[in-house]
Amino acid sequence: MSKRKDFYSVDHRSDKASDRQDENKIRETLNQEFDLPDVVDRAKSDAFERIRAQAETGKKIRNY
Amino acid sequence: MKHLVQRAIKGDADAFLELMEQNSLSMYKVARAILANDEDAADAIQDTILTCFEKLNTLKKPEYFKTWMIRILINECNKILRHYRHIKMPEFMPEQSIGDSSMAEIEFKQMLELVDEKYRVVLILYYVYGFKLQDISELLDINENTVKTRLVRARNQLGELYFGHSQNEKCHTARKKEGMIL
Repeated sequence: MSKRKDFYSVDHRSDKASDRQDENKIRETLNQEFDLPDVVDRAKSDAFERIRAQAETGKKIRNY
Repeated sequence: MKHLVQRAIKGDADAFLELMEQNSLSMYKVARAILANDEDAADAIQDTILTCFEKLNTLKKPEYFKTWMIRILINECNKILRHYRHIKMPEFMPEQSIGDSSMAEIEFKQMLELVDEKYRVVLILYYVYGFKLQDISELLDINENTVKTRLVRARNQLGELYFGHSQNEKCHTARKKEGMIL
């Protein structure tokens, strides 16, 4: 009986510890900081320029 | 951030641009998770920035800025996906070389690619933005239990493919977890 209890508690703890480790690694990897890829950075800068232009001139930034 | 949002709502373009700058990387992560390539992610982010600027006066509470912005971004990504479906392209555009990418960017992309497409955005919204399951359910317009299931399955896929846990090793735990939420 005591053996069975030990088996479950140890198994449960190791599963939980392993899950927590995985979870931390997932969070860490997905939250890493890096520079935006060039194509994305250019697109962002283009949007920023249009917004600055609108703020200065009051002209609409997009035609629909 | 709240202060910047308030200034932006009042028409301060510099404050708005600072806000977008601060959020650009996490926006990219969401767009990349949905669209799976940088060119489309770039289009989605550009349109999101412009749309947010145009519609900023419709944002009633500054504390909802993040959710509001992500909703706009997800809409822009979905527009691009609909466009591809409409023109019946068999595949997305090929990915450019990752020669200039940092290790962090490569690791990020590799981790995402190991997970099924429909689970990726849930991972980003949960782990990068820290949204609660209910918020994610509202953002993606899916049931909260579906969000939980996708998160568990994404973790299981990463457990197997990224961390190298064997199927048998995690099988019992996975079944237990899924059984609780299905």
